[in-house]
Amino acid sequence: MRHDVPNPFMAQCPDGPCPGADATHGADPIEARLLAEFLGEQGGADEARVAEVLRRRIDLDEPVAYITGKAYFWTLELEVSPDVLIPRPCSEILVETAVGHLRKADEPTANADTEASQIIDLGTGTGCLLLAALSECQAARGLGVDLSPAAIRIAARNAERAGLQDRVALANLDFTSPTLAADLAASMPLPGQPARVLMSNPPYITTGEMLDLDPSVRDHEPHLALEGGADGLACYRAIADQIPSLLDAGVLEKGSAIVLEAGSTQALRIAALICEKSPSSTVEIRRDLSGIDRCVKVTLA
Amino acid sequence: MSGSADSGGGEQSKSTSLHTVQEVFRSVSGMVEAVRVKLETRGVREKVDELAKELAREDLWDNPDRAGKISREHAALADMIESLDAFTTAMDNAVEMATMADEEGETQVIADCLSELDQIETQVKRFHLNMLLDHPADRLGCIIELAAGAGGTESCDWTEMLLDMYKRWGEQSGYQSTITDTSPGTEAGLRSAVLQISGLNAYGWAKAETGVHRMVRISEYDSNGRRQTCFAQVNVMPLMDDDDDNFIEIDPADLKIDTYRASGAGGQHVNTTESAVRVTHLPTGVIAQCQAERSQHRNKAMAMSVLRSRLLERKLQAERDARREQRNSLGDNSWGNQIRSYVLHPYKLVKDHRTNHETPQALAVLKGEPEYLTPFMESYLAQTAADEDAVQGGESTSSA
Repeated sequence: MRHDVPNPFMAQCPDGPCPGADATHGADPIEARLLAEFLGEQGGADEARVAEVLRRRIDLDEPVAYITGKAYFWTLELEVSPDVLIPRPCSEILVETAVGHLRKADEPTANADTEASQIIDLGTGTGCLLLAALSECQAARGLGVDLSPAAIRIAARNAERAGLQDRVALANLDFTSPTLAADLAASMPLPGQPARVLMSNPPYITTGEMLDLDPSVRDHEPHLALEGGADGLACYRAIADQIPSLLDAGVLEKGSAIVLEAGSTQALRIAALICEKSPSSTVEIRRDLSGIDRCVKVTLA
Repeated sequence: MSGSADSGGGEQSKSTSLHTVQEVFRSVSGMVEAVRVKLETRGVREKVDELAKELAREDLWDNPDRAGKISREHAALADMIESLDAFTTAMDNAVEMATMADEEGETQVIADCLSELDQIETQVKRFHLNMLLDHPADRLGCIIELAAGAGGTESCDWTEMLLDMYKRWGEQSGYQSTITDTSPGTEAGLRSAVLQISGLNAYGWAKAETGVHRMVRISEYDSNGRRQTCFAQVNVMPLMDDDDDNFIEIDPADLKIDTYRASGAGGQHVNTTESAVRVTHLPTGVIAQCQAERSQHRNKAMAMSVLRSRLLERKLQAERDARREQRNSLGDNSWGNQIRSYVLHPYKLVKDHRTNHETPQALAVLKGEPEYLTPFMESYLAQTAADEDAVQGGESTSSA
């Protein structure tokens, strides 16, 4: 950190967390630092530039990540734009869970590191989940899927940025479509080999909650990545419905794990939805570092 | 240098020069002997023989990690003994040369011998101090935590000066210095900062710096230009490699890991930049937190590393407390005790209150120049060791 450069945003927040540093006006020291660095990279913090950044952040409530065009997740620095959801720190538990499953699956084989396993990420957005998991598993390959062509372009650039482009395939398709199994089978980087992990952070905010969302989320982030229907579970139902055909098409197999992010009150309902379609599978629910049930892992049997 | 040749001198000054050479020889020989006795009492020679036997075993390389460790340890210890022998030989040669030169009347040669002895003296001193760093943790790198004391902006500015001093000291001593966290003061300076110094023996040296550091000067922040006193706390902790469990073992079940400003639903509902992590070691209540890194994953790794350092420092402090009780002498350098003053006005002086070591080169000390700052650490180490020896000596006398 550059402690010697006067930070034009620190005056907003002289002594650590300022009174207003909540979700609505989060001018906390970390934001101040990121914005100051952004201005530095853009060629300096003259008064007009500072005013413009403050206007976007405070008056328009634009998230810091969209102003700087960057977000940080796991060990990665990622490009973001209003076309993609900003990666959330709590989603890192999905990476831990997915990586844990890949490593466990590799254990019995002597040449674990050369054995290539596959990961599928539905609604990949920036690519954060997929790229973080691949960065931990040297031999794994991954397929990222998104309905938004703009998101696919960003994910592709992020894969390059992380040096993972050779192990990543991306496909612009709708993962709620009934032809999902065939679509995935046609796009997998290792055709004919079932994926060890299918992960997703699908939209899970209910239509009712959308209006009351924090403006920095509601007015700036893509609703496609946020809104999950009347009960927030529409996409989970779509995924659950596809499990038999995914198994039939050899996209998944027994022992594959489905790793899903959940809204703060949804984990049990999601687990129930999935198990309904796959009764003998085992379920594990994991908490994020704020103590919220954030991750549902279902191991298929 | 303790003497110089007088090129225009007669009989009298020649023999004076030789006399000086012999005096320095006697004093340095005394030091070498003292170090040799210390090596003997610690059984270094026996240990070298023992390791040599291990090295000769045929199955040595079945375990390459262990073999590497043994061969490094053997090399280091054997090197110590060889260095001592080399000092003795070099000194004998210098004196012999000076004696011959004295007979020939070659004053320049005598002067050269004298400066040679001075160099050996410096090396022996350094050797002795390195020997003082004999705790297994001494060889580690360190984390230096700084916190401004009472006194507002003045203390924050002082904290930033200390951070700069240690950062430069680390760099100029051949270490790698990285500032890992800073929290800015209201007007200027820093309320707190964390500096990481990696390299061999960084902890061994810097551990002498733990305590309260006091600054006296004319304030830049006081419009009346009055003399001001302010304080900053320095806490030095050993820095372990992630995979180094020789020092301390932590049971994952004893850890509570959480975010320290958790509220609400989180997830897709909010998009703050907040990614700070707090790790609590439940059995001891020791806490480490990090918000300097950009992702939660990185903050967690850094907090874990700090926690390990805190727990090890706690263990080492307990060891030191136990020894201090035994010898009951050297000033306590624990958290909260003023250990050193840096006076910039009305005169310039840096003085350590534990060892009474002092220098008027206050600005050079504040620039972290090892030539001026390291002697403060050396004097602390030397005094600690002297106190330990006194305890050991006292014990052996009473038992005899």
